Amino acid sequence: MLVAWEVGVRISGVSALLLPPPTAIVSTLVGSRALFLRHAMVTLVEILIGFALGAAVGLVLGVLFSYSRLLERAIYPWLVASQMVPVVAVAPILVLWFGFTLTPKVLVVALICFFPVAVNTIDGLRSVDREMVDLMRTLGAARPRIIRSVRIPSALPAVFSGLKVAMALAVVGAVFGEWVGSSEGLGYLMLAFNNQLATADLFAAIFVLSVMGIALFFLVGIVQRSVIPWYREDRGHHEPSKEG
Amino acid sequence: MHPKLEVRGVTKTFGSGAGSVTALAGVDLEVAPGEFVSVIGPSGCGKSTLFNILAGLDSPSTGQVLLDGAPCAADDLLGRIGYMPQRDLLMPWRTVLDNTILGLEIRGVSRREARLEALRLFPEFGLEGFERRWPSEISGGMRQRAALLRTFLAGRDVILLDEPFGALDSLSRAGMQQWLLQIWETHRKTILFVTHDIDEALFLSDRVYVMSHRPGAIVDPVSVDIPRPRDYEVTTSVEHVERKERLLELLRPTREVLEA
Repeated sequence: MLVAWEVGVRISGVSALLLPPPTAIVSTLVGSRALFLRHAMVTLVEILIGFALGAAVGLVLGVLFSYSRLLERAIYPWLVASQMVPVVAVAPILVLWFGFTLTPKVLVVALICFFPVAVNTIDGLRSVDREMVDLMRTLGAARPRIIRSVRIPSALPAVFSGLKVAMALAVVGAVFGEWVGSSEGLGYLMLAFNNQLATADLFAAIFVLSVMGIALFFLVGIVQRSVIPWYREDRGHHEPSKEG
Repeated sequence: MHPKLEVRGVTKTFGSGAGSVTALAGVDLEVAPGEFVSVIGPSGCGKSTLFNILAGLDSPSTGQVLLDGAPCAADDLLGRIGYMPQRDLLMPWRTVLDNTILGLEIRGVSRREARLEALRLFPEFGLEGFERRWPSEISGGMRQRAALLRTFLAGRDVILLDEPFGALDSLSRAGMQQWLLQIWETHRKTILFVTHDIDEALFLSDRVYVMSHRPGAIVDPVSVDIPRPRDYEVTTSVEHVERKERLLELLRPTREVLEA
């Protein structure tokens, strides 16, 4: 595909300003690697802090809601509403409040991340197998033990699904936060290159961002496999119950 | 001597008023210490409701459950009766070994000691070599044996088994039945077994109670005085077939039962 791209661009005579050939992208990547690395680190830090914050808030909310219907009824609608307000509208306000600092980007990322984590945590904690809880009771288990041994582990696969979605969104969130107002980061680089019509550099920045996003996403997968090695996405672990 | 487990006039009605459903309409039964007793009945006759009451998960609407001669409320029964539900309910996040020690752990035995105790029984339960596997990696029959070991290790004298072999094919089923008898003969637990398979009930039990169609009521115990140890060939013997006919007769829903 890369070859077809290279050959296609050269033969058709499309301007390198519109679609640069891969070789041009690679050469700028290599030539300005220090620049890309520096800005990539900025974006990475934004993503990681924002993701950690969002995931933590999402987890806490998910746990609180699954234990208190009242709390859920009071706050859940507001959380859903928070997702209806476009980040596009919120981000400039955050920049207005916090300036060209790390804070607005972290907040944008966290704002996007907490929601899928919260929703999946609630679903995970609710999806607990009633019969397994009953079995624990017949074995004489008290409530804290049931929470620790049944509810939490059975919620973990859903929690990880939420974390994966959150991580994918976090990358977008960080770049968006930078677009609204920043002087560094991959998002800032993209805007700058775009204005300079430095298309090859723009593509290089997009490439770096993609690689980083993919790596982060798989990292969540690796953590998942070490935390819940028993869980396989390709095979469900709940067989249907039978009427007796 | 008291029966180990006794059920006196237990009824269970769900809901109230016009929409109420009577699941159990007067169940009386008793199980002597070390006895193997089965309850058979058609699907939906309330067997599972009865077991939930015996395990302490639910309270009867009227009537009593007595353990060692003492009446017990649901909360007293919880944790005192070993209960193996139809589904094996092995926890997918625990290895086979750690699933079997669940009851010991809840009783406060350290994980290390519990594992040692469980490992001693692994060969007898046909689970040797599968200690570190995830439940999703072993066969249905093995999962049932692991679930049974978990129930045994919980250390209760009375064990309720709710159609434990219902999901197995008939060949593995026959094997599992013979194996269960061996285990029972070595450990001498008091077992109450639910099934809708007449052959299975007759082969395994000292006595068989028949439960009528919904609302469930115990019709009659049939004693199975076929000497032990039994071999599977016994299921084709004349004595077996005679008793089977009697049970079939009892299971036929009569007008009277349907109106009860």
